[in-house]
Amino acid sequence: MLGLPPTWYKSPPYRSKAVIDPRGVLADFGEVLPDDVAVEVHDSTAETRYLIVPQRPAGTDDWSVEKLAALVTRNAMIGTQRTLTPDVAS
Amino acid sequence: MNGGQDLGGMQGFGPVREEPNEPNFHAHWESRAMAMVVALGALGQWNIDQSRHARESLNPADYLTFPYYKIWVEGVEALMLKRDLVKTEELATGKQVASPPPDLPPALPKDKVWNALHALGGAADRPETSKPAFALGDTIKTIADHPAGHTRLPRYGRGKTGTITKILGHHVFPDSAGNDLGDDPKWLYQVRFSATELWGKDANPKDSVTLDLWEPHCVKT
Repeated sequence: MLGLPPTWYKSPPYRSKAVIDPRGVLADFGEVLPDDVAVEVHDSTAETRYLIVPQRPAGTDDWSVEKLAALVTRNAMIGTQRTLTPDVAS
Repeated sequence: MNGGQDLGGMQGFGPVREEPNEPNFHAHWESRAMAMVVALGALGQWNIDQSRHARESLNPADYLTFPYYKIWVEGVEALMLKRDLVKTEELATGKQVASPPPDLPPALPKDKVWNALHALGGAADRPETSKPAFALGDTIKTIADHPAGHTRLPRYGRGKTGTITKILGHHVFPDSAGNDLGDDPKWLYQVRFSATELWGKDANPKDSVTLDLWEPHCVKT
């Protein structure tokens, strides 16, 4: 559905760190979370797959579904990109 | 098995580095390796769990240093040798010395591989033959065995206390299917563990990890 996974997703740094230090993984992607934001990691040990529905960015209340969908990235659906900004898409 | 694939919780590999505008493959042999693995899958001689077990049976030092698709090639070669579909000599020379078994279906032709790749991960759910032993909200403890064969319960999740958060269905049990013992379907659950239960006092108490685990991995507390 998301295509072939990127190399980092299959590499030892991500596979070792995502479960023990998810905040560190997010920091590697430039996302620094405050301590009061809970992190929930899903280790897909079965054939079940998890896709993240990204958080709607501020200032997009009047956007169409199509315009919002254009903001969504692969990393946002993997869960390593939290911030989607209208600037990123344009 | 405690092989090179069971990486969760290891430390010291350094930061996750993203390659900008990464291509699907970094060398021609990688796309050929992937296509060959998919094409050979059409022979129907192994399931996804046996494929995983073949890859994780590599020497851990090799697993950690081989390129990703090299691991795939090593895995499929091991499966073919085990099924007597190829000889060591053939792998070494690239020349056929023995005929394939007469009842073997053909490998997928080149033009069918792309579609087959997208169909990978065929349904793992199986008809229900029992009722689930656990309910949402139940507290369970995971078993702490270290089987020499294939298991989907990673080391970091063994002997830990968690909560059933989803009943995912009645699925092929990889700890059976990956060890050549048949599908033996079992109930599959999503189980939530606090980060402090898994990783100790330095973890953020708000954080958690879920694992998808089969009934034989869990004991009611």
